[in-house]
Amino acid sequence: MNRLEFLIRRIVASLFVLIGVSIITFMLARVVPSNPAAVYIGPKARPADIERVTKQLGLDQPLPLQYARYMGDLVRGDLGNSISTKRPVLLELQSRLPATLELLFAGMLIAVLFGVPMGVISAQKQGKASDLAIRVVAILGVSIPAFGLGLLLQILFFRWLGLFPLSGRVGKELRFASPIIENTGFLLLDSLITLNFTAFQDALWHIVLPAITLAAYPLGLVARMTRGAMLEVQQQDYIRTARAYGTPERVTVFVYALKNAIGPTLTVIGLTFAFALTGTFFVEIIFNWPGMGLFTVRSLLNLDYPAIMGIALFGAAGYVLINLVVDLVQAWIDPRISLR
Amino acid sequence: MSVIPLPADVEIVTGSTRGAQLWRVLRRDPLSIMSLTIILIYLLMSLFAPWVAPYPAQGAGKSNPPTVMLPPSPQHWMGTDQLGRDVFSRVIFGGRPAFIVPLLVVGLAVLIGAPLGAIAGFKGGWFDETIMRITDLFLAFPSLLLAMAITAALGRGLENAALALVISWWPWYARIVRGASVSLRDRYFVEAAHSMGVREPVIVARHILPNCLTPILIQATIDLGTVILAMGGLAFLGMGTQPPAADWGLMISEGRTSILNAWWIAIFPMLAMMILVLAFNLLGDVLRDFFDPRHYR
Repeated sequence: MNRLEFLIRRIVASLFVLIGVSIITFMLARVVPSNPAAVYIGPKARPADIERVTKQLGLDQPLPLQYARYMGDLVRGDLGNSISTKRPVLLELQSRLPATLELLFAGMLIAVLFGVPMGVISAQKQGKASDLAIRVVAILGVSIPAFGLGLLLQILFFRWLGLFPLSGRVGKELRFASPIIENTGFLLLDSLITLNFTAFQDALWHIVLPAITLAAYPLGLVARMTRGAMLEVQQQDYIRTARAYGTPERVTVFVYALKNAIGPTLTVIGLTFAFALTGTFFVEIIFNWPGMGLFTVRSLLNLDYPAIMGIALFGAAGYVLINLVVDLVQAWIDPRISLR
Repeated sequence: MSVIPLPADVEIVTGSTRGAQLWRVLRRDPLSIMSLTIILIYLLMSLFAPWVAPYPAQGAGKSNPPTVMLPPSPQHWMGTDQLGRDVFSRVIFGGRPAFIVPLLVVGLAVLIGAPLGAIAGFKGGWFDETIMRITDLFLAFPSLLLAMAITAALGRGLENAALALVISWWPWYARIVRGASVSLRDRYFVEAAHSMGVREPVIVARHILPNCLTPILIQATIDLGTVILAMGGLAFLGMGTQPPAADWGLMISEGRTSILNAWWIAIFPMLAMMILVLAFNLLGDVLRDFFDPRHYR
């Protein structure tokens, strides 16, 4: 099987999964609640409204037909209108996506930049103090709830040390002093493009605590997985051979061993991206970060159905996409995979 | 004359000695002993909360205006919250929804997932295909996100949040048990049972499922930490336990509003949660090492 064929097969498989995902959100929105129309309108539903929405959504029609309509809307990018804001759910999500993605990337960057070397060092120094220290940090990372860690960091770094701001994406003063001209919605990027360094520093300072909070769980997972994979690889003959040839230890470990240990680590990175996506929701609440998480929580509290299902669909689509990318990257790194 | 090959899967170590072996490993490992002790203490304190908690009424939710937001002291080890309730008592009561319920959630997920997975792996064919494709769909969602959506559909509250977690978690067990079941299907003791005319449901119940216990046990131990965090997350979002009842996630959410002047309200429930999850993660590591030495050496 060549690469193109592999690519196409994976994409087709992902499409099928997405269809299945839409079936689940459809069921949750229209089948599980006893009166979907009332749920759809929200808590203040009047009988007349319920009747209107029943017609409008086609709830009086057979389920397969309802699903076909729902699917048709989805394909056109119509996730329905949010009950609380009255605006299209897709638009609401799109406008909040950059903030969430910026946080997500920052967190994952920390997790990978620190997690992988930590795992490598830990495996190198197996049984030594540095191994133990790294393992403790890693297991603490996967054991602490993100919403708790966020609060802890706020107390430590804002209340007691005064090093970092409490919450938000930028300081209030910045809006007047040197406002960021938004192009991409990624504030760090936007401020850098326009050479607005005051704003860049402000945005950077604001993202530190949320990003660390978000990074804790993926960092722990990545470090643990890298350590395990490295320990396994280090036993292999080719590593012994490299050592026997007198290849510098740094090259042996970071080039030969890591290259072969990176496969499982990549899978974990892909998986944790998805965990981190739900993680951002909690981090956003704690740090008042104006992304999808805050919108999600508001929707959950208001029982804003179309919004909740839109978010679930969006999240699952993101998850499927990330998994697809991970598979492709792995096939690219390790040619043996595409033969399967 | 042909030599009958010795079946490759002859089990010399039987189940009971395997258990004894595990116990010997756990007993010698200080971290495991510590984890087991922590879990046992949490279990007892949660079960006997009304007798253990110094202020049981406040633990259950009764407010006490004279003692609002007191810092930790000998009378209130973990201080008091905005409604004057003893945080320590509430941490103990909070263990019921935050720890006992996740235990039940994982148990129920196993009860649903394991038989389905065992039958799927044993029978193969269309049943296998159907079950596996269904699990694919569930696993396509980030678990917590799916649980949030289901809770929203069912309505808030502890029972619905727990049910949502069961629905989000059973596919993992179906997957794992199916894998184990496929590898057991062609083994001699299953074939022997077949040849003796044992009916298929009995084979699955008596011969397949008991042999899948090890992977189930490992996965359940590892999952418990995650499920406790997920349950805490739902409670934190207000989807789980409703006030005035105590739940670690909910307490962290309640403490958040006064985090800068009364840190103890949120931080102690968080520590309670973290220590318990840590215990499960440590224990999970040991179990995985023992049963699957290849994983982490």
